[in-house]
Amino acid sequence: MVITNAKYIKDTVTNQNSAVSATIDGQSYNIPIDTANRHYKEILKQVADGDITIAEAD
Amino acid sequence: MAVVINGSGTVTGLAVGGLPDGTVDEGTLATDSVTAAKIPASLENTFVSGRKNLIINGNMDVWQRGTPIATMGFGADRWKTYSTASGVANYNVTNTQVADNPISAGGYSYSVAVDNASTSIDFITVTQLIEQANLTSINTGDSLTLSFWIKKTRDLDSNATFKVMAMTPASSKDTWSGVQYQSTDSLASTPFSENYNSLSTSWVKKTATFTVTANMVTRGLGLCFQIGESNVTSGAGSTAEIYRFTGVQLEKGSTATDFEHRSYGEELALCQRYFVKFPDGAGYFAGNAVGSNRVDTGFPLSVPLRTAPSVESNGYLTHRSGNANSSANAITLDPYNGLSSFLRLRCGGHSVTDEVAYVISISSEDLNLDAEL
Repeated sequence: MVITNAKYIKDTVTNQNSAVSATIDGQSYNIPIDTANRHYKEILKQVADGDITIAEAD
Repeated sequence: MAVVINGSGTVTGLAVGGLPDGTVDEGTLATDSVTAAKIPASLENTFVSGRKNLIINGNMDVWQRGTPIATMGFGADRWKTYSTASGVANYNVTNTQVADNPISAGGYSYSVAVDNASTSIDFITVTQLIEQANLTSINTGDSLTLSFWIKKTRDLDSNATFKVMAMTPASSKDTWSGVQYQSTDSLASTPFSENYNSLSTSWVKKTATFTVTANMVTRGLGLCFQIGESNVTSGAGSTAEIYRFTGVQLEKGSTATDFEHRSYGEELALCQRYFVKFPDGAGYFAGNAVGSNRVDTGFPLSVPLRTAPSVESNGYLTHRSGNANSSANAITLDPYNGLSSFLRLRCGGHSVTDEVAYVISISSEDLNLDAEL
């Protein structure tokens, strides 16, 4: 997967990171922070490999 | 013991196994006189029974994402294409549902074509990954038999091969790499391989049997239909369709039986465990304001999703009671429950009053939720 523009989304009530927005193979998603989700798993892998970083939420 | 013939056609005194082979014909056996215990397991295993097909949407009936789709990725539900040029992902594949099927005049097939005539492609794959939870009827050492119908619609480079590969995740359950072709993930076996150009332009049913490995049982199984070797399209030069396939079945045992029909509703529900679409304007969903700028809403599902889904951002809006639209793409997932047929989604970007009820509808674009493997 080609992943770009990864950025955390914060829960507006708790102010904690609750999702990641990213563009994957040209399609944009809001991705849950859940290791069974294929997109989140790949984001974690590419972060661990040093290929991408996840920007902090606004 | 003497053998006695009583003059009325009855024979007694015959020892077990006393009839020579080949002497009991169909007319001699009384109707329904053979009990289950007398049927050998080797024959019983070939009997047709329900829920035998491990493949979902094998007859290419369900295309929730639409058709045609002119990029690599999911085409028919549960089927995902991938293409490469010089080892790099290449998006120039067109996936199309075609009203052409060898089993039924009312059925469909999956058509694969190149989307860009100026692009050389090395491999094109179409893959279905089977969730480990759906493999609990098989065990290590079992035989699985694959059957499918295929026809080419044009020739490719003479070195091109057509293969079906059986794969399993390299490390843990349901954890696949983002790429499924050739040697990525763990190639367990190649049940089927032949020169691509030797395929027929008429529908032909192909079958192959392979052995279940321990990793397939505990981690999952993928079937990858691949055309390729180097520069398979030979500079392409054409966006013409390459091949079609359908009627894909994977079943336990060493015999390929007839394709198992499931109703469209059943097949759609099986697919919606992995991907579900809420069409633009499909309905209103009850919600409750949480804080001052979001409405938490329950979306009904036909079946619980496999896992917490990704929400596609395609420009959809949420329209709430009070005649207001959200900012685009502002839905995220609330905590996920794998046993619930309701999915709680946070619809952000609204100016609302905390703890007040609102209803939400989807507008401008469909809402797509992706829980694929």
